[in-house]
Amino acid sequence: MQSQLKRGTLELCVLTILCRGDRYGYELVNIISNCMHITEGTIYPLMKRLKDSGSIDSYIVESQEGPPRKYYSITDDGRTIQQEQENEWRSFSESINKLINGEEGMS
Amino acid sequence: MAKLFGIHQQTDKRRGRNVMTYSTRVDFMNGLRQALAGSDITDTREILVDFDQHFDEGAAAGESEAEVCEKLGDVDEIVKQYVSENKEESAAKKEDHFDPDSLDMKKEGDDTAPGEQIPPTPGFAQQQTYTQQQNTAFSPDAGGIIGVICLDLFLLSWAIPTLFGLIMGLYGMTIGFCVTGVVLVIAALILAITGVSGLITTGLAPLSVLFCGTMFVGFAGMLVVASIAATKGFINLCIAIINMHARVFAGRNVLNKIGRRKETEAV
Repeated sequence: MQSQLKRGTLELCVLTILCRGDRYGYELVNIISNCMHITEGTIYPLMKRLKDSGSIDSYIVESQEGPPRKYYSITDDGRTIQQEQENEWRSFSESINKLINGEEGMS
Repeated sequence: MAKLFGIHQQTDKRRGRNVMTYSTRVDFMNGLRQALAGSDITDTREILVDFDQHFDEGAAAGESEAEVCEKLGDVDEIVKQYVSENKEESAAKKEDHFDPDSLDMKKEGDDTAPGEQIPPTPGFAQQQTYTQQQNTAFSPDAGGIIGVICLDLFLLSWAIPTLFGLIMGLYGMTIGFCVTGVVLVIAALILAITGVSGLITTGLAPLSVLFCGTMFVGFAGMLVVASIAATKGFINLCIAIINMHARVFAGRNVLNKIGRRKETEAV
């Protein structure tokens, strides 16, 4: 169940970050691992699925110094999904918070 | 959230005692390549490039290879993840991703007392997978429903009544032949006993009448077999139609279909 929950939220995190701008893999991994504890290797499988499903796109940028970078960008479909998941997350966490804080049944 | 994930990692470490940990880039990449080769993933090249680039970036950012390896985690776990994401993706192509289910849940929770509707977190996940499975099993799609309705019109207005009439006809013929045959046999016996040389109307000899009678009874016997076979076929057809309805519509409609089946049989 934890992996289920984690997967759902990780997807939302990735989509949200990409909504704000294109990122390359390493950068994206670092942004996420800075705010939560993850096994970094699991981001790449997620990126592949999101790309296969058309939520995100990728393109290669050659750089003078350092290796070529694979950038990820959000698609229109991805934006829609991000919006859905964000709304869902907000109402979900709200109800769970209510429950944890013992406010349930009071409304 | 970080807590939850931390716990997840701990259980992972406890579970996998023989988890392969690598401390150099070459070892990690070789391990990954091997693990990928042992899986059913086909496009491994791009995956390997992704991880290669990750190591490059890590090195450029001043991380040691061992650090990068440790943060990336277990190679087998990564490959497992690729396999399961792959499966999820092909499953998601048919249905919506899991969002609508949990949205529904929340609506329920908001409508009434939230405490009663929202189970504790572990239960939530269970329920979620349950509804997900239900969705895949019975997702009514418009095309299927229209198809079934058209088929129903054909079945109800023509095919089922016609077949039913034919079967009833078969039974009628069976009874007719049987009665005629028995009557003729009895008549032949009466003729033989009374000594009358033949039927007044036809002038047939008693022996001919007896043969006629047994022939009719024989026909009746064959018709019984045919009628039973036809009835079986008809019932099987009805069952197939009901099953089709159950498949197209959600499980909730099964009872209605059975009611309707009786209706069609009565036609």
